[in-house]
Amino acid sequence: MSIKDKIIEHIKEVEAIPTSATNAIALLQAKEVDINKVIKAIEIDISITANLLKLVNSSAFAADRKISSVQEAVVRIGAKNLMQMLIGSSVTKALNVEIKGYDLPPGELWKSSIVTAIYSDVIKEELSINLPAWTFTAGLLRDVGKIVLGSFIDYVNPDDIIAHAKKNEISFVEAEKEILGIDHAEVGALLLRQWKLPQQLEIPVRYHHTPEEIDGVKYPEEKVVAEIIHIADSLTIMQGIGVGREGLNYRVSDKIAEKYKINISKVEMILAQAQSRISEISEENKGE
Amino acid sequence: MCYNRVSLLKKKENHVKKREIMLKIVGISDMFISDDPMETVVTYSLGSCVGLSIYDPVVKVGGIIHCMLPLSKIDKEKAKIKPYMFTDTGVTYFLQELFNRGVTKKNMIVKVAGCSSLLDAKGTFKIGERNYTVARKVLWKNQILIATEHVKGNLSRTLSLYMETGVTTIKSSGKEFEI
Repeated sequence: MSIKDKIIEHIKEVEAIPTSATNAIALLQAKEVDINKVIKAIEIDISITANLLKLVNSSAFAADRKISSVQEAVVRIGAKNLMQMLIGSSVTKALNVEIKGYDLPPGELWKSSIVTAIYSDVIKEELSINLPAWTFTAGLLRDVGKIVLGSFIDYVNPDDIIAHAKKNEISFVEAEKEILGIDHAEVGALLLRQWKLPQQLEIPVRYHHTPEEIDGVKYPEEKVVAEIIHIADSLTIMQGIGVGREGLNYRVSDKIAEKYKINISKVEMILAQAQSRISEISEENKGE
Repeated sequence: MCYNRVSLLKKKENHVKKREIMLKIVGISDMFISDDPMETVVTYSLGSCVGLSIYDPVVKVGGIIHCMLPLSKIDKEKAKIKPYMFTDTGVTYFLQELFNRGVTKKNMIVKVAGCSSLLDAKGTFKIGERNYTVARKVLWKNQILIATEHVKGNLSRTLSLYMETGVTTIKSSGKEFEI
């Protein structure tokens, strides 16, 4: 069995996200959404409800008023956004773990996920582009594969991957692929499929380091989302957030920067804009 | 804690051993100055941000600053509220605060860390480089020399200043070393 096959086998052992959440997500994806059923499916699970309310009220989502019930959340943010928040809150626990292989303490992956999601939102505003509501979720989930490669499997040695990257002057992701046969982006997409999350999320997660590889004719919306997540992720790494012993050894695509006319002053604007929302997140998390 | 440093020198040594080192964490866009030998000032995971560790061995005062963006002109309003976010205003204010606490240009030891970059062929995202240039410029204007630096490349660095000894270290890829 190759390392890649072994890793894929291990994905199956990752804890599933709560059934109440997957039920509600499935209900929300139906052609005709029965919102009362959705609310019931969520309220049945206290921890999901609590996490959902925490997320909709957090500065990450920039809600201007306290939302105190699922019912109110549906009214205030709409069914589409509710689904995104629901996905976000149902992966909180999974993303909050320590990622040993990448040297990330507990909470760091979750923080970096929120930060990438916030950057994607700020980029959307700064560049005045239209993006679907699920862009935020794609940002949250982009590094979910690190759970498998970094905390779940003990035979993956990050030092080997880092050494390989250094020796061949390639990025950490490229080295992951060469050494393991699969990188954290691809593992992440497979995990999303296993969790039965909406399929559209798989492409941006799978290609968040290599968005040029997406067929823009076949997947126009997914490609744009992946490109924005790529930039948002790059900014997160630059800030050293969610960065482990591999450091900043990631590639950022100049072509995509050009496509969206992002120059250095634009980058600085985006970072400055996002900073107040990000420091609020750190404050919010301090209390736990 | 108040005691006579001269007469209680020996007692102090015992006392110091008993007290635990306190970590003082400097967040992004912030700084911290200490004069307590039992404190260690630390800032985590400097990426493209610039970190300065400044220590004066004569007055035994020092601190760390962690700046995110090179120039305050992109958001002057924010620079008023959060001057340490920007390298130009941040380092200037940081120096002023240090001078106010008795640190002198003559004795201060300045160490610079961070300023890393992603793999970016055209340099669109080279904030690290710009942070470094601006930090140097502010120091140069103040006629202050950099003692050592550990900058650029693609490392993520944690910068610590041990007030007990005045030693500055970098921790990167699991290894800690003095700079």
